[in-house]
Amino acid sequence: MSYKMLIVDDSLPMRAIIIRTIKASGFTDTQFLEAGNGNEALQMLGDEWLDLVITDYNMPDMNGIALIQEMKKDEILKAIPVLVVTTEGSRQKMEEFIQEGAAGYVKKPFTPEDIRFELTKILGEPENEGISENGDDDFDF
Amino acid sequence: MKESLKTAMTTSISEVLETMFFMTIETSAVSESAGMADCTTGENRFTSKIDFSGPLSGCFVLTVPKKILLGMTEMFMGMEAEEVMETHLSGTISEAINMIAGNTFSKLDDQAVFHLEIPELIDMDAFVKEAGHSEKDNIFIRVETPSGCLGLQAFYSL
Repeated sequence: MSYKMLIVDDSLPMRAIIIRTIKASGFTDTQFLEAGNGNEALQMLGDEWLDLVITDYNMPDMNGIALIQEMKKDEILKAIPVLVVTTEGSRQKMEEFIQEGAAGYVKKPFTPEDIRFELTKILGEPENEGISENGDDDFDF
Repeated sequence: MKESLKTAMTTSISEVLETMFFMTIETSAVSESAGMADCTTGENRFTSKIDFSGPLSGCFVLTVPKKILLGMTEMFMGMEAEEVMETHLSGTISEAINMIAGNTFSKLDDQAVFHLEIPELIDMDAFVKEAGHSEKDNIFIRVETPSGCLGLQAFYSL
């Protein structure tokens, strides 16, 4: 099954490694869109349907919590699951992500297994199990 | 507090560099400025700072030689050396200090809420000359890699 995911992070390198990790997790037939903050993400979400939003918390202009709150106000967007990938480590913050409607969270630094576990929980098992055959994506699982 | 923070910083930078950048490292806490100088000064180094507030307030400062940062960026972004631009290097060191800071605080006290600002690139020489840092507690972690050393510092007050 093919998916379309939006990666929201103000860090270009972090967006790149999240995409590489997802591909290496077996979700090879996935199309990625990228946004640098919550505002950019909301504009993209208004244009096309997505299967999953993966967002950072600490971003300029609009952070990850504010993005989730805006999505939950919208009758259509509130159905899109949101996975938070963040450096925030406090229990209070993690509980806040879930209370606001996040489908899950992954703390940075993360392993490919962490990402795969959460994606599988939200989307189900990928069709392509195991490591990507692309040499650039050869993470260990 | 100082020992707890030092331990959290040491564990955190090891985890971040090994997990996200696949680096083999050795860390040591250094109290004397002599042990810091060769890791934090000189040409061809990138330095990123992230401010924080909460039960402690202050900043973390990470200094990485360009040669090592280039390798980290290639690994992190899956790029060849000739594809890497200055923005990729600055983005990589900023993301590294961001992860180190967040990971440090979750190890120090996962019940406490710390607020992290957006990381920024700084001139280390200018930063050292700024007023105020000498009045704060200071921790320095020296990180040895096969290609040279990195420096992680914390300046903080209760």
